[in-house]
Amino acid sequence: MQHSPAIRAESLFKRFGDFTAVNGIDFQIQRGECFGFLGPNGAGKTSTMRMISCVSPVSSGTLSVYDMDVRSSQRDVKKVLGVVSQADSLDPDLNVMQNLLSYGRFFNLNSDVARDRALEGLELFQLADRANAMPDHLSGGMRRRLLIARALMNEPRILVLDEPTTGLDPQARLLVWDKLNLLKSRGITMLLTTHYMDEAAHLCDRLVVIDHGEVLEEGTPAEMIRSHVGDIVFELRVSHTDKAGLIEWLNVSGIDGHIEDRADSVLVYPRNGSLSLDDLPIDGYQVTRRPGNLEDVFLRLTGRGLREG
Amino acid sequence: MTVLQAVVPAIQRTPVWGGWRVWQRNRDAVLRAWKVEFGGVLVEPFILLFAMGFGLGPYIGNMGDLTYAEFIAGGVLASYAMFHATFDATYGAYLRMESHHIYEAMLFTPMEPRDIVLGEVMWGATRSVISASAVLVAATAFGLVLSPWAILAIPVAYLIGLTFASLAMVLTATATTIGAMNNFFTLFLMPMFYLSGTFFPLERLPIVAQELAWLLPLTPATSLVRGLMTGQITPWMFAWAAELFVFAVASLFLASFFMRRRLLK
Repeated sequence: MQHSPAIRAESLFKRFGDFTAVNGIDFQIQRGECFGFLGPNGAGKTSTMRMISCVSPVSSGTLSVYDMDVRSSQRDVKKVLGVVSQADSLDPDLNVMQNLLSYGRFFNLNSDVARDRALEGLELFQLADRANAMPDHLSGGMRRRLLIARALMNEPRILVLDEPTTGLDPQARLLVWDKLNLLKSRGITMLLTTHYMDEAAHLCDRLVVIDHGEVLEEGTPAEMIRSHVGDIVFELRVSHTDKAGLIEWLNVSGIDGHIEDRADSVLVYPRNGSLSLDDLPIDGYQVTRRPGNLEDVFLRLTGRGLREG
Repeated sequence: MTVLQAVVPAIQRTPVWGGWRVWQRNRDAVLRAWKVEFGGVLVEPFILLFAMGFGLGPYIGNMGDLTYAEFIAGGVLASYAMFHATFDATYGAYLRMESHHIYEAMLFTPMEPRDIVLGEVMWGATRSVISASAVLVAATAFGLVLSPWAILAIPVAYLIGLTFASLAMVLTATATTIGAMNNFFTLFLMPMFYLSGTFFPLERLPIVAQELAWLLPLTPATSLVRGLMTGQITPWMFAWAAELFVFAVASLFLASFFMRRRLLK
């Protein structure tokens, strides 16, 4: 039997006065998949996430979570969601354990059930020895893990993560990814927003690239890389003064591929596998041959780098 | 058991239930720091009643049948109930909302803005009861409680707390900076404290000022508590309680409306 999608959006809009943050997007998130919103700051990722979480009214279009309309069934929608927002909203007046228990009460959990789940969550997120600590005394990585553990208190069917690893050091980030992969393997549906391409590639089964409130592309990370970048990328690191000359050389040499100008390097995306290192003017340049990645996809689609912010 | 099974789900569907969850959060937070939170609340009424009643009182003489200390005890209790509810629902609530993002976290659960407002108001009223109890104990210790009716000052303090916490939440829901709270205190609460019959009978004021004073919620609050503590019971008390109740309900709806508009953007 075909299940209805976990989340379905049709021509979804979010406007703030004259500003349109989400400009008529459509997407469906299937049950059990990890779905990513990939885009720069200000692309409309957070606005979409907040509409799904029922904390921001939909301007127009339809948006449903497990066939429940977010406009009319807020409480029921919120019961099946676990949300980790960008703001660090741990309660500074309560200790780690109390943070979880208090959150459980907002879902009307029986106190025994809440205690069991809190202990389980602390164990899973490697915080069991910090149960009595105050949040202010935790590291950034621990706080983030606690936020995720807190979002799991109601055993949500969908975990919504808004930039789950932004601001974490690489080690803390890997630990968060590890936990998220574990949750994924247990079958929870995940929706995450990120502006890290490697994060999207690492975690997402399927993703949309959005910018200026519109969906630019939808697919699996591998599909996107294959159709927009190809398997191989040559990256020539070049000084600013030499760059123009190199690009000209590449253009006249008739290389069968796309040439792209990046800040400190020139990229060559061969149209097929025929290009080899020998075809490139490797003398004097540091040339890397690497697989295409989502960052390449993103830059090809948007035609520019990530926005500052 | 079967009665509970029938009643609890019905209660859980009411807005009070969500408010109670928010109330529990505030209770837990305060209990972690109860020495800091309640030390001053419990000590200050003794100092105030001592200073005013025994220091100032002899120079003022009697107010009708009452000594000055007996006269002000009710007003002090009502004002304390007002101040403690208001402090928490202004500075406290604003801090929880803006600096600590606690409301944001609550909104990602089934809690709605109206639950948050109601919980904060119920908590403010609880603080009123705690401070009023301290005043009542101090007043009893100084022999200023003249009637057993005084025990009703505790539920009345809860009503006073509901009224002022609701008013304060209207401000919190609309304030753009924490500085807005200062004006509320200097331009509204403190003048009311001086002009609502706490320290002298309202009859001393020009008639227009008296009428205006009755429009301020601290006036019926003070009259109610003073009547209960001195045993001067009148049917007017129902009207005074009704005035507080109307203020509370109207402010609660207004605060919920503004809070919804502020939080769900």
